[in-house]
Amino acid sequence: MTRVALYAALLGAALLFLIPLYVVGTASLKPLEEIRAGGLFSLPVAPTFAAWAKAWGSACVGANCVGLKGYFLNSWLMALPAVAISVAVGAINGYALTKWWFRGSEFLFGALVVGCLIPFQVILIPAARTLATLGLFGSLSGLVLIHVAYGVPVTTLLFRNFYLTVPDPILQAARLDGAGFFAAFFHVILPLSLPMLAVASILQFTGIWNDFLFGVVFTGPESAPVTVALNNLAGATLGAKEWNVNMAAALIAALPTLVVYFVSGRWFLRGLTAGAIKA
Amino acid sequence: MSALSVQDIGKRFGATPVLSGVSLDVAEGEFMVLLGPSGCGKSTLLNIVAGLEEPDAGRIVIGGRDVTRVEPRDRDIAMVFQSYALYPTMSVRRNMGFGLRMRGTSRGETEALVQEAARLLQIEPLLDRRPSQLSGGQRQRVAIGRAIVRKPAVFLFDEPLSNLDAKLRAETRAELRDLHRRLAATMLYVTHDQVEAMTLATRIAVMNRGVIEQVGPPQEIYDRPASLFVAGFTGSPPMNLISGEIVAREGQAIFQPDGGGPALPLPEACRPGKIILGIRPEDVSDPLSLPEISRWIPHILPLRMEATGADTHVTFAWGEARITGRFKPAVTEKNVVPVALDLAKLSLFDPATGLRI
Ligand SMILES: Nc1ncnc2c1ncn2[C@@H]1O[C@H](COP(=O)(O)OP(=O)(O)OP(=O)(O)O)[C@@H](O)[C@H]1O
Ligand SMILES: [Mg+2]
Repeated sequence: MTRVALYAALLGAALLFLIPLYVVGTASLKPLEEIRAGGLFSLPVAPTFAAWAKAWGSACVGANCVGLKGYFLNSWLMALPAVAISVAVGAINGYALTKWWFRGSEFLFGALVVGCLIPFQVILIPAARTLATLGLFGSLSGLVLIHVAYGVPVTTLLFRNFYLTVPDPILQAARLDGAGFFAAFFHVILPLSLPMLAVASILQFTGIWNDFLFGVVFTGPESAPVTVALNNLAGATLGAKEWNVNMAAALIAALPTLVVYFVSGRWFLRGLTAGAIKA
Repeated sequence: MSALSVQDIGKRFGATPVLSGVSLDVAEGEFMVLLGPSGCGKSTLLNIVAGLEEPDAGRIVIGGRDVTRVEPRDRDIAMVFQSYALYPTMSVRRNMGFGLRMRGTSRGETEALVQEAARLLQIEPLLDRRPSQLSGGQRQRVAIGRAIVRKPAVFLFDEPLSNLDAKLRAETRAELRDLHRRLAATMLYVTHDQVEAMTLATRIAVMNRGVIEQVGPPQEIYDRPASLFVAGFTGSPPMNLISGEIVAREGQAIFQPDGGGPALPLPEACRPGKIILGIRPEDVSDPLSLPEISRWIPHILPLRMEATGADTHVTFAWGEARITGRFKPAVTEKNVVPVALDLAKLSLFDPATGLRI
């Protein structure tokens, strides 16, 4: 009996979360008249991908009617290097902080924790000044740099906590075996870190892909990520609102993070619950 | 020239001194066991020898070369850790070959050396497994294999048997002794287990609170402990230690235990004063099992008996002191007295300094 209640509750919760996705999904497949006429929950009578095609290739983003495709590419060009760099730097930092004690490492760690807690509105103006000085303001590389700088404290903390569970003698053995800082990292530590690499990459990817604020502040009209483009597309005020195109655009912008979760959710859980490492 | 020379090493962690003035010479081919209770600084010393920890004072010399400031990898040593510390993601083969590969040994030669070491330790069938697929004893062998494959000048062991069950520990102990003989290697071995120390060592260094109190062959440590600490830490049960006073009576030195009880005539002249007398349990026994010329039979009474199977330990009251004797298992409450002490085996300690007189 309790089991039935449990499943009912779970099913209810799942439905609650799925309803918006259903509405957006069906709306993106309906012609505009159907949306205006029909109910929110009705299935499309004459499903069509026209709205998707328009959102992708010809919808107006601000003044440019070129669709999302260029901005979608921008997002990839920004997210992939930003994720790779922030995860790699975080892993090496965490390793250095836990396994190679050095003068000032405690202070550095304290500073990183503070770094994790700073609300990002606070750093907008200093960051803009810095990027301007570096000549990167308004470019994708500038945005990558910001995401790396903002992501590294979090990834460092993740890896540090993970590497604390790796027994020190394993690393001492590697040192005696002749491995230096990087040899020990690549041969001994990194192969142990796969679950954590997955967790950090997923967290970073979703965070960076979904970011809007940094994108809107630090990029120009050409180099904007898809989230900013989506906002401009949906906010275009000329003519009647094309709900189906907006919905399709929203799905296009959200698709990569959805796919990442579906493909790697299992890894994600495994990494989060990874137990202590034994020699 | 000694293979390893530890010279006047000092080390503190914060304000607490962990090692003070530790010096130790390990000869070529020697099996030196560093014996001491938990927390006395054994691992710290071993880590300093390995180069994993920096000493605050003193020098480490290996094969005549001062290596105090030399990186661990360049010290020509290998270490076996208590927790084995195998690389979890590597096969046994790669675990054993890692040190060679890091030093630029070719793939082929590494493979041959790993095979040779694996044969010696009889772990060839395990070469393709991961550490997580091995039992504790097998992991221990692999850890030893990883050390011997490099043929270092000095082997360091940090309590390598303490995670094994009693039977496996005894077996591995025998194999280690065997291995030492076959490799003719210089070994520095840390343990808090005196049985391990007695059975493995060519010499034992007994350590207490960061100081080495005595260095010598096992039998010497056992028969002539240099301090109260060594006397109390070795033997099972440990040496009986009885406080009392030496008085001169008609030209003969007499030991009078605190709290009364029979006075013991000392075989040699001794300065009067407070003293602690030590005697091993096996030298307190049935009169018939002790040599006639040196035995002394006091009138003391048994308090309790404890059978261990091989022999029976009987505790007697002697003044305030309790002393334990070792008897044949046939002993009973009825025939346990009279009991004799072998006066040829006495140790005398100064209670002020704790040192042997
Ligand atoms: N990194 C450290 N920081 C502070 N104190 C330490 C550190 N390492 C060891 N100590 C202290 O130094 C003393 C000696 O430690 P050590 O590990 O050498 O003991 P040990 O003789 O090997 O003991 P055991 O038999 O339990 O392994 C202990 O009191 C320990 O608390
Ligand atoms: Mg120790």
